[in-house]
Amino acid sequence: MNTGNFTFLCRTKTGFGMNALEHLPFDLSCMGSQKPLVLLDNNAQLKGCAKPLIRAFKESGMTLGLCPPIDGGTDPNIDLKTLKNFYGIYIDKGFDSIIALGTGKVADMAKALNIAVTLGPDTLKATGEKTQITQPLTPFIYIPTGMGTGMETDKIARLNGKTFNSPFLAPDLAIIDPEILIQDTSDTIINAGLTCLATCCEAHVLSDNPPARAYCATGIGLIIKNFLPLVQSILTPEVTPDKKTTKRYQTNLAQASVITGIILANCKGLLSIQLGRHLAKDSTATPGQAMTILLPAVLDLITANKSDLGNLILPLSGLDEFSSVPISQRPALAIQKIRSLLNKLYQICLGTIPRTLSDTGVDRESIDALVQSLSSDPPPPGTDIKTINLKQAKTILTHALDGQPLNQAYLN
Amino acid sequence: MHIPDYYEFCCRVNIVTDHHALEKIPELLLSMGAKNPMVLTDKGVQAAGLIDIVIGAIDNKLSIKTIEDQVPPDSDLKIVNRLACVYHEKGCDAIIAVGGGSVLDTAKGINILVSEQAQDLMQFTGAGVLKQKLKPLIAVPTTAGTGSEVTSVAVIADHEKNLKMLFTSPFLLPDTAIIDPRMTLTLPPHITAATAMDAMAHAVEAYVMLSKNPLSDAHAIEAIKLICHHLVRVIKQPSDKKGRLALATAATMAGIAFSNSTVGMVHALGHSMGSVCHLPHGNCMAILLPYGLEYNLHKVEDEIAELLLPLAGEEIYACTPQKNRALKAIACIRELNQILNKATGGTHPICFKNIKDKQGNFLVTKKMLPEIARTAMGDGTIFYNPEDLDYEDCLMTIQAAWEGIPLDRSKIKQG
Repeated sequence: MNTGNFTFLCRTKTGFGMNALEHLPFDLSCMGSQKPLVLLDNNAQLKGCAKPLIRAFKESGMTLGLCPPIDGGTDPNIDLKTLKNFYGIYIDKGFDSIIALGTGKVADMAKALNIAVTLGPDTLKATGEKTQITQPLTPFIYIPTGMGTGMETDKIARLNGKTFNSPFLAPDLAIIDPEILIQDTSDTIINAGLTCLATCCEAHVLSDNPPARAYCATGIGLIIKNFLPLVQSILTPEVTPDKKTTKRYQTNLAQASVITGIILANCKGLLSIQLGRHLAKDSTATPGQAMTILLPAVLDLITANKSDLGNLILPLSGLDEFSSVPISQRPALAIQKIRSLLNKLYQICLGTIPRTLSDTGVDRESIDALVQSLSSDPPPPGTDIKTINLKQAKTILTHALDGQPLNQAYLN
Repeated sequence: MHIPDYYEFCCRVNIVTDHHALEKIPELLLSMGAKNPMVLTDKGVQAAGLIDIVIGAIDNKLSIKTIEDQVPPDSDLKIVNRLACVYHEKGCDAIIAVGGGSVLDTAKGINILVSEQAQDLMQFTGAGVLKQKLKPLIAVPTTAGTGSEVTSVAVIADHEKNLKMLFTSPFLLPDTAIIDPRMTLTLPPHITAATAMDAMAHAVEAYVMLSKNPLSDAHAIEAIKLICHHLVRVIKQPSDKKGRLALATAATMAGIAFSNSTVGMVHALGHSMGSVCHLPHGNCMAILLPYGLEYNLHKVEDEIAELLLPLAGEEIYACTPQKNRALKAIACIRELNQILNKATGGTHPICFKNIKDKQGNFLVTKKMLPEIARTAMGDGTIFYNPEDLDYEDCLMTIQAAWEGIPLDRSKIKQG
């Protein structure tokens, strides 16, 4: 129960729950903004997500500008022509804040636009030290329409291979309002939910940063109570609960996504996240699935103090189970809980979700090549990501192959 | 996990916690474009030699324009106005506030005036009036208790008009809170105990109040765990730097918890105790906390029961039947007060009737109790209490706390 030397910064205020949008005009006015520009993707446009937002501003006396919707597809690159167009609209019409309505792609576009309108478009072209952002930007609000992977509320902006890293890039405000949430596909929910689980669990175990631990505990609690029920409700409509309950699951998971971004911004070098993202490039698993498959081995390998791993039982299982399980049994139980969740998901998804690395098509012979590919895939410049220890990576991948516990002798 | 229909959570302060966190001040201020700070403190902090430590840590990497130690125990409008003029005259571009709540409130008041180029602080009273970021402000708390380094509120007293002005805005949050154990290392045991119990009261009340949310809960639990693990050890071993750092971190976490939830009757009664009898706030919190929980027990029994885990540890939690956990949690806080009383040679009080000033006079007499109860009824924090309180309830509670006997719960008018 010590605290280490740590820093923690979360510039994002969260407004969560029923009618959260109604508070937005007041929040914006408190930031000195009267004329926000809204960016949204085509899915948000199609599902009418802008309507409740426009309604929230109806009697505010503020002017709300709406950009043409962007393509929210899977291509991670931002269309620079569209960005230039939005920059022109923002400057020409005198907007004074940015609202991103959607998920990943819209948030990335909004962050890039924010850099351009506050510091000038040339900043986006700059390299090295010139990309450092050390001052507050234009007020930026993020309103998710579904589950994200946390990158939306992270302090990192990605622009077509280029990375900007500053606490000032995180949204000033994230609003999660059930009215604006769209029903995600099960694939999206599974990837996002597992990403949140892996991020929160690894950061909870490895971080001696009490504020980060508090966020992690909340994130894990939200995932445990809402993730599997939501997936089940989508995949087995015959047992789907009422709409209100489903909406509550969605809203709580969107909150977990926002928390994940805050953790990512404060906890550097989470191994399951880095390895999982890399692995997903060359396997059938999504990044979230890969992260969770690797998580047990990562936790077992790199947790110096096993009681930190055992403490994970508290957010995973609650007060009663935590307090009744002997300390010596907690680390193994924590890992078992994570594996059980993945196994249960496999069952709900009728075997279409991988539980082990083998399930993703990776075999023992290809592990060396996978490890080798890590060394030729350095962390993107400008990020806090550490270079992965290849020996550790090989051990993790080997033991994730069949979901086997680590060889304890290795730990000694 | 309790998730309300709607909640907000915000703490934009950069929390820097380190055994050498003070040394990071120059880098942090320079990154905000400031290099000519005013150092603001009070005479007590100055006399304790803490400013020398801060100046030594800054090591000429900043051009400190002035060190002002005139901050009174109660923030004062005149002082704020005068120091805002000094800020301009000396060409300052930032404030480093070293001290407790009053120093932080004063720093926030000065920062409003100098950032807004204003003369009249009154025009910024209330909520959400400030519309833009203020000048850089670094908070260096010197007690591990108030949590004011992470609150967006300032209270400035206009003693001429006999009123207290409240300012609320996210822009009042300091840019950075520097948590460095050297700032609390020399605190005497009884003050360490009192300030830690202040933080404990913030965390516990934040957890049981109606406006709690999952994130305030998680911060509160972390704070309680840290205090329970380290407080008695630090009292017995004041030079325990790790323990000091943990207590200071707990106070900050508790500050985040209550500023995103609320506090309730413990603070309402404590404020009036302080106002009428001039008792140290932390002592009031320590004594009143079990009574506040007893009073609210029937409304928030489950929440109080959950607190048994961070208060007593998993073994006691698991071995206590569910129906007894809340009462056991309250008993744990009383027991902690008893331990602190013993460890501080009797200076940490466990009831009001025995508290004496330096001359040996009793500070709280039975005659004062009605006035204390009346004053508490006007305290804003009373409205957030789970169970309603009227004058008789307040009086009954402080009478029990004065005697040091458990509250007679059969007399509570349950709403």
